[in-house]
Amino acid sequence: MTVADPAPLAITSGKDPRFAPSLYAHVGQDRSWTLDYFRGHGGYQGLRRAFAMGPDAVIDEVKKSGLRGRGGAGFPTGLKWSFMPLNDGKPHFIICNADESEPGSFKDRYLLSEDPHQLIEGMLIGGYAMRASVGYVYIRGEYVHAAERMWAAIEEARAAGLLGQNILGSGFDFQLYVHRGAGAYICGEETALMNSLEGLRANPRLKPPFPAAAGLYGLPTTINNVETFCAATQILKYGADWHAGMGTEKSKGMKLFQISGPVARPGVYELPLGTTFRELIYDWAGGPLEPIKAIIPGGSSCPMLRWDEATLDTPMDYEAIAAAGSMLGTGGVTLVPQADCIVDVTWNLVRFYAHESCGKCTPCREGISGWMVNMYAKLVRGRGVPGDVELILDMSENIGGRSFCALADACLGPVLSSIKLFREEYDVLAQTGQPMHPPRRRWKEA
Amino acid sequence: MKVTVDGIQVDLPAGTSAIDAVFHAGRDVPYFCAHAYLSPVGACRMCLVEAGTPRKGKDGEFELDEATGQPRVFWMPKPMASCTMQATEGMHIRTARTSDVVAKAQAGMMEFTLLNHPLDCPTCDKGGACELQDRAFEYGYGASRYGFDRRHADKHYALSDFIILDQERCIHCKRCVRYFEEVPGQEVLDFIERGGHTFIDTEEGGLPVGFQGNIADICPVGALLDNVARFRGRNWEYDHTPTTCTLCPVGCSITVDARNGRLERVVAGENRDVNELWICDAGRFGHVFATEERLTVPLVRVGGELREATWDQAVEAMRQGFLGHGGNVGLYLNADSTLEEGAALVALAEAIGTASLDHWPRYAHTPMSTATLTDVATADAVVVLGADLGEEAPVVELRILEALRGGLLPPEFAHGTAIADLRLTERPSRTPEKLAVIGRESRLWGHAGIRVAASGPDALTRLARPDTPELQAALRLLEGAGKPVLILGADVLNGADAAFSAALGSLAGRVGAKVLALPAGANSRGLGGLNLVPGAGGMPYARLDGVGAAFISRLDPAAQGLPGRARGFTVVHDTHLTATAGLADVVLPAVTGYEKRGTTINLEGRLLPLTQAPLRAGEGADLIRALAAVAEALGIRPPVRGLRGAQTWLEGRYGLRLAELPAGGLLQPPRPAQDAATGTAHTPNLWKPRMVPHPERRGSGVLGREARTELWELPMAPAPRPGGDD
Repeated sequence: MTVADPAPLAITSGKDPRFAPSLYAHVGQDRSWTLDYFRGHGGYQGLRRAFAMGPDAVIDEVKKSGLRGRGGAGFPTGLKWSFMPLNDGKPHFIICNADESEPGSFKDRYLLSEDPHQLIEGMLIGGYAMRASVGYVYIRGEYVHAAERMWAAIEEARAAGLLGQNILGSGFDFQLYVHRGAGAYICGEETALMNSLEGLRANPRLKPPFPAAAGLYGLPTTINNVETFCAATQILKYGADWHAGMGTEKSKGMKLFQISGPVARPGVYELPLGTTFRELIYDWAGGPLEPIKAIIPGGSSCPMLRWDEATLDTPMDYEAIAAAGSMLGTGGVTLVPQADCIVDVTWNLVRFYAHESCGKCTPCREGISGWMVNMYAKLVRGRGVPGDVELILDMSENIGGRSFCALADACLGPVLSSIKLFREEYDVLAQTGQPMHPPRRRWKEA
Repeated sequence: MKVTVDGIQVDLPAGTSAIDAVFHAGRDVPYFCAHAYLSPVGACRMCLVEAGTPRKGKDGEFELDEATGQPRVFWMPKPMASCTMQATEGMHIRTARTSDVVAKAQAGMMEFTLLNHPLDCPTCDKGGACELQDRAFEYGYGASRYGFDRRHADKHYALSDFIILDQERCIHCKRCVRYFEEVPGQEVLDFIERGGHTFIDTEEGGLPVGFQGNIADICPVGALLDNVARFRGRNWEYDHTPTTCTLCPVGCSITVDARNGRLERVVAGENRDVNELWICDAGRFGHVFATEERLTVPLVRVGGELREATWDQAVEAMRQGFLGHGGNVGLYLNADSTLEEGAALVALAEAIGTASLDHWPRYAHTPMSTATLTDVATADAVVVLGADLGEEAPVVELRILEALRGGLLPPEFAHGTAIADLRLTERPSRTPEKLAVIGRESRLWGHAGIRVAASGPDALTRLARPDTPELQAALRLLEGAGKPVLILGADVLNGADAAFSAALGSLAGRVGAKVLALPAGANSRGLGGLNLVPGAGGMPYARLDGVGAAFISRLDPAAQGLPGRARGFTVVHDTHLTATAGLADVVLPAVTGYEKRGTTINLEGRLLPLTQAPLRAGEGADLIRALAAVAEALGIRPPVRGLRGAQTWLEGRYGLRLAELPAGGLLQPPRPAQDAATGTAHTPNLWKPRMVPHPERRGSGVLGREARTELWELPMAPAPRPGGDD
């Protein structure tokens, strides 16, 4: 009588001996961005495996791996890929969203600049699975270095026959192009990105039709984050089971977590999903340098969480953070120091959203870009009056869920959470004009 | 499809937008960016409603509520913009009337919309007819909690000579941008900058002439204004007269706005069958001829000089002038005269016994037209032959572009034209391969897939027996289409004769095409139908020097290089002192097309009513009354003495019942016109000399020194002088 093997324990800690970094395995190595280096470290094996198994099996493999979109929304990637119509006779496009613009997020730039072939391989796999013939990498305009590395890598791949006609003898044709943005956060919204790519004003489009039905130039299109495509490369290389063996029940695989703020070693850490904040902050980032009062868990649009034992023990996966009242987002963890005025901190974020509002719809253009930022400026400058906080809350109610795309809601994330967690700081500032934590010198003396 | 709005169940066709479901149910939702003839965009976020749909269970049936046995409604978590949401079977919608959430959302959105709006309603031309004003009153908070300076921007930004943009008033609804992209197909306007700094601007070179004025109509606020009418009156001071434009044969529905008896503004009216909601720039801005340098009293030549006179003196002068000419009198009128005026002229000609009667412009031979404008808009192939539509019938161009955009006619509901038609998309794709233009280069060339340079009437023969690959492609286009339309313009019609008509009929019959031959004048088709052309031995318009005495109504042959006088005696009936009037013996003041009642027949054969706007025209008289004076001078009892008499005459002879026309006009079966030589060719031009606005009036939008002195001539009490002991 045989007993089935017990399901292997999922890896939920970067300290687990079975865990080894894969996405960032080569970041920081000498000449890691060259094709020779990449091939010397198992590059384009995943692609060969994909060609061997056929496009439908690739989608099944990605579905089985449990990969979810790493751009912030966490939509299951395999499911998204399966939405692309089959045999409709139209050209299909895939787009890599490398417009990483959210404050607190900086994982994609190193993937692009240090390991571009990993992304090219991921897009080839995605393109093959989704029967796409053309791919675009939409890179944030400020990432000049990353775009140059990407260009060079595409040239290398093209020269090596990895892009173009009949790739590796599989009969699959694929072209890849880099498009540099002109510096707009809204271009990270998939339909605005497509407008921008078409040469139009970057305004979000009406959905439906969804991109899989009518996207770039009205043709079926799928957009994924850089990390998602790179994760696909690893899944095809090591297998779906390897990927599904990491993380929690619903959040599988590894994730690039970024940590910024007053910690000893800020940076990007590749850890399995389900790792706790405590492990990231203390064990990997070396612990905070000064008392902390709040954590922004996944990029500036995610509501803040209070710095306490319960939060520190929260596993960083899609479900646990949602249960705690925030979002995993891009995994860009930011620590807010105790000694900083929370209104000032929030103003900084609100200014970002006010600057980046595209101007298409009224609540965002007038509410965020016009009114909200003025209210914060007024409070921070000590001109606030009692009732201002209530007004901000009432305005937020009129903005939230009323706007065309999610940008206005993204701004409300830090606004509403900071008021909820630190209402006292707001009230004192509004009533006395004096912040509970006076401003500090921001820059060290040279 | 059953949809429930605030508890009212309505039955609607599939694909209806939620906003149309609400209006169909008789409920109200505020909106700014949605527009009946433009794609839905969802930018203003005013039309928020709460919506809920039933869900289907595993058995394919709606999940039922156990308590009521009705399908259970799953409400969406947040209010939805109803202009971009499709209503679905069983959907429930709550408007502000039944939902506090919606009421607050709309009031809050109104506050945002007004945040940076200058609220200069007291000096805004849109005041009183402003969607923002009305909706703020109905749905807003009443006061703003915004305690900061409003955004300041250029308030007098001229987009073109005709359109002024007030950047502060703009609420960024994007209607104007979508209009240019979707209707005339011109990508000239867009948002610049982003966020709170967003503003509308053109590419260098301003707005293209043609259909730019329509953006002033569709702007929901006072941001885009008609520069010709700017600061000329408030909306409640204007007398609004819905009537029909007589500048070209399309017969667009317009509204004439007059203040103190002076025509100040023309805005587009809606006629789904003719112009939808769009008119051309000439029709909108070219009305200044009706107000400037008008003839207001009769003139009689005394001692070689034209002197002002009374109508009695004019009739006496005519009595003496007509003496000795007997029946050798010619009667000529402009082709934009009404059917009633034509009837009066025909009746008088019959009473005099003259065969010299004519209208101008017209063609010697008129081929039969069978296509309507709706046929053009829904055609799957259009061939334009020898027509410069920009000069002959501009709105036909828009209807052709509508066909290239897919030929979607807007659906109609209980509340009229659909407010948000979800089939329309931003930046629509067009099918230029469905359009062939054969003739001289014109504005339509850029939209045509097949372009052939050709001129003269043999273009039709060449199309029927193509000798070049392009013409072969054009013929194949006609042959391969299910609903092709062939449009003919002046360039081919000037040389048309019976043989041409036969060739046209055989070609159209072979390919199954409907034909639209553009008439030369606004009512050429109607006057031609009355056979208002020279009879046997009669002199056509171009030969009016062949008659002893002539009566010329609103025509200027001298300016055209034609004989300007009859052999003996000439009476001119006109609105202005034209070159021909300067040669005449008696000049009678006339009225413009805005100042008369009557009926015209447009290019598709539709009877359209003219209404009289309350304009000051001095002693000007329409043609019926002028002809009655002529009859009196001739000593004949006038056979038609007024509008009603003319309509009775028309009913008796042709069975037309013009007193009971429906609002959108009535399509009349075609009536053949007699062939009659014209003696000269017709050159279409839309902007006639006196229609161009005065240069000082254009551009700046500032009150000029010219021609509006009457404003300052109002009797005013002398200013009080400071008192003093001295």
